[in-house]
Amino acid sequence: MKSRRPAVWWMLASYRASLHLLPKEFRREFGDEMTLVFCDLIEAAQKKGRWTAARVALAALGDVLATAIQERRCSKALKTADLPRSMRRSSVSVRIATKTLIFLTAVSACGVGAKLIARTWAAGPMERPMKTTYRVEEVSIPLKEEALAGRLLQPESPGPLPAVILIPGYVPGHRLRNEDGREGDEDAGTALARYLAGHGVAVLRVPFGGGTEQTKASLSVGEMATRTVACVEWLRGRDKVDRDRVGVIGQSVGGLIATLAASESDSIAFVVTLATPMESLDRNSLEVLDRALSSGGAPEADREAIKNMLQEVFSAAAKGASAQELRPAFEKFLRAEYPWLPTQYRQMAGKTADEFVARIVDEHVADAASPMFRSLLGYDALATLGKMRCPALLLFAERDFKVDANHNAGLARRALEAGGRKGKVQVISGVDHFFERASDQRSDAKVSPEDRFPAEFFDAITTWITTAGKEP
Amino acid sequence: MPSAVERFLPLPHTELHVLLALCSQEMHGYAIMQRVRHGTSDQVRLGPGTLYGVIKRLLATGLIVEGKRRAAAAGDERRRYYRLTPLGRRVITAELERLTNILRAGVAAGAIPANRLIVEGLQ
Repeated sequence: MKSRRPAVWWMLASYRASLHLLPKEFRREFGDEMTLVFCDLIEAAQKKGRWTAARVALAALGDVLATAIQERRCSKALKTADLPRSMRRSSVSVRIATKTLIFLTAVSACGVGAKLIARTWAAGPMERPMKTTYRVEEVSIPLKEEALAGRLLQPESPGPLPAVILIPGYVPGHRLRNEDGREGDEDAGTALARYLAGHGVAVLRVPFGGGTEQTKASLSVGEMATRTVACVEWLRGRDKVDRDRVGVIGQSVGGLIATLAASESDSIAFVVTLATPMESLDRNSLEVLDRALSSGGAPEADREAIKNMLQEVFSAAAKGASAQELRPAFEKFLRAEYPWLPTQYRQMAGKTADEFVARIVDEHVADAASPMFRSLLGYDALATLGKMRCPALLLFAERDFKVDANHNAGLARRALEAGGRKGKVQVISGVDHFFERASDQRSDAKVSPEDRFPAEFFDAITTWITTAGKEP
Repeated sequence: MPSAVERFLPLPHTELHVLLALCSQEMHGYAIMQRVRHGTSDQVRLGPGTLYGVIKRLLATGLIVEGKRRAAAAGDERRRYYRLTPLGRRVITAELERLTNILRAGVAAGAIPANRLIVEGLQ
C-alpha cells in the first residue's frame, strides 16, 4: 500500500471505512474479498485516467451503501422471528441513519478531494467522447453491382459523431470471421468495435469480399478499396455521422486496403493501420518463413532452398496459375518446410508431414489462386502510403511474428517522410499481431478487453479518431 | 409442489448473470464482474457489494460452492474462487429454457421481429 499514490490511498481508506455500514457477519465473510475487487477496479480504471478512477470509486461506495441497506433488511427479517419487533426496527433504523449520515459526509469529502486531485493530475488536454451505450443495426449498403450487408454499431450519444469502417485482416471470402480462427470471447476487431462504439464512435463492419457463407470469390485489393470508398460515402450520408470525420481502420492486410482507399478519395478523414505489412505479401511471407525456419534450427542452405520453393509458388500464382496447377509445387514446399517448423507449431499442424499437408493444402492453394492473393504479390505498400490524402496512424505490435514491428515501422516512417505525408508511427509493446497481450503477460482469470488489450492500444486509436489526425 | 429446480425460478437478473459467468469455469469475484460486464456489452455492471450479496445468496441456496484456493503462482492466493454445483447448472438451464420460451412467444405475438434474434456475434 505504501507505494500507492495518495489519491488511491484515500479511495481505499474510504472504501474500507464504508464497509462498516455492512452487517458484521457479511463484512467478516466478504469484506477482504470486496477490498481486493475494489483494488482491481481502481487499477483498471486508472489506465483510463484519474477521472475514471474517481468515478469508479464513488460508484463502488454507493454500491456498498445499497448493499448495506439490502443486507440489513435481510438480517432484520431473520431476527424479527426471535426479537421484539419494535425494539429491533428502531435500533436498526437509528444505526443505519447515523452511519449513513457519517458515510455520506465522508463520501462528499472524498468526492471533492478525488475530483480536485484528478483535475490536478489530468494528463494533457486530450478530449475524449463520453462513454455511451450503443445499438447494433444490420444495414444494407447499395453498390453498383450489389448491395452489401453490414453491421453498424451506432452510439446512443447525440451527434454529429465520428465514424470508422473497420476492415479485418486477410481472411479471403469471409471478412467477419474471427481472425486466425482464434478462440476466446471475441476477436480483436470485435473488441475494438465495441470499445469505439462505447466511446462515441460509430463503427461499420462490412464483409467486402463475399458473403458470410463463403460462397463468393474474394476480391482484389483495388476492388476492396473501391468498396471501402463507397462505404465511406454511405457513412457520410448517415444522420448522426459527422461527414468530415469518417475514417478507415485496417487490421494487417486490411490496412493496405485502408491506405489504398485513402490514396484514391478525399472523403476519408483519417486512417489507422494495425500491424500492416509495409512490404508485398510475397516478400513479407518469405521473411516470416525465414524467421520460422531459423527458430526451428534450419541451416542457411536449407532455408534458402525452402524459400525458393515458396517463391516458385508465388511466381506461378502471379502468372495466373489455377489451384490445381499450384498444388504440386505447394505440396513440395510444405513437405520441405515441415521438419523445420518450431516444435510447438508442428504439434498443432500435424503429427507427420502427410497429415500436415493434407490438413492445409486445399485451403492454401485455393487461396493462392484468388484475386486477393494475386493482387498482393509485388504490391507496393510504401508507394501507396506516400500518396495518401489524409493523416495516418500506423500501429505495430512489438511481439508480432507475422509483421516484424521494428523493420516495418522503420519503412513506414521513411515512406511518410519521403512523401511529405502527415502521420504517426507507434509500436505497442508486449502485444502480438492482434494487439493482444502475449500469453506470458496476462492471467487466464482476467477476461475483460482491458486485460487482453493494453490501454495504450485503445487510447492511441481513440485519440487519433477524436482529433481526426490533428494530434500534435 | 414446485420441484427443487422450479422453486428458484424466475431467477433475479443479477443471480442469472453471475451463474452464467460461472458456467464455463470457476472464477474469483473480479473475474465474475468482468465476465458479466463483457458478456452483456457493458449493459450490466455489478459493484463489489452487489456481487458478494448475490454470491452469499447463491452459496446459501447451494447453487454455487467455493472452490479450492489457488497457489500464489496462479494469482492472488487470498482470492476465493466459486463454481457452479450440479443443482446450479440445472437451475440455469431451466431459467434459460424459460427465457427462450418467452422470446418465442414474443416473436409469435409480433412484439419482436424474427430477424432481431440474429444478434451481434451469433452469426
